[in-house]
Amino acid sequence: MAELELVEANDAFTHVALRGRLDAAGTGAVDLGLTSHTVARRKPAIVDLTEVPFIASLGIGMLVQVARSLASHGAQAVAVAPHEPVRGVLRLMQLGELLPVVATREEALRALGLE
Amino acid sequence: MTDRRLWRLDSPDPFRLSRISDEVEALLESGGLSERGRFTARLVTEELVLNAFHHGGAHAVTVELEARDRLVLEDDGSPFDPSAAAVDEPATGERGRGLLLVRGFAKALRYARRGERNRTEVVLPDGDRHQ
Repeated sequence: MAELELVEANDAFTHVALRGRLDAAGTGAVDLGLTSHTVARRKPAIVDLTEVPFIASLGIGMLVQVARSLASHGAQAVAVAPHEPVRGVLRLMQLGELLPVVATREEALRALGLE
Repeated sequence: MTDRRLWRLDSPDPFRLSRISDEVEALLESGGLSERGRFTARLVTEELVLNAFHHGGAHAVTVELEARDRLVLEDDGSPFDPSAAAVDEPATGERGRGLLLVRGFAKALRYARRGERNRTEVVLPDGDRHQ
């Protein structure tokens, strides 16, 4: 079952890490937590998928919803996804500026203009 | 691989779906299919099964591992060809993200309407590169 860890939450950004498969069951397990840790804070967010071995459309929908909600408050979301095939799924979705996909936390911070 | 396996779902129970995907993946791994092929099997199973129940009005869906690189999904929902259905832009719309993924990862999709059932045959990729 998927899990969520709040890695860092400060005045500048939020960093959350998801672990496990983001299939229908896994997405349901972390959806509320992800929203409450990111959207509710209205800060730029790093969503780390390094330890997510699988993602399907419900998981993508959850990430898009978080990114859209943050964007409506002027905050950017960035996904960290260094490994295939999850990176390939995100690439195929062509989410563009709504949810940039990078390989490391450092790249994510740069994408958020925080380094 | 000589195993020929068939699973039946009577509801879109995500936990049962996950268990079925585990079993399919284990059989494919024992048959030597690539990681990308196994990922695709899980993806296709998740997307097409949930689609049949949530959008097609299906009451039962079967998933069959027909060969080491071939899945067949059948449902009793309304006619639906996953290889041809319209989809939205993923960043702006909600319709069809799963179908885009299925089309993007499957090596081939073959759809047929047989009587009152949809039959979708999915050929899984056996390399690790995007095809």
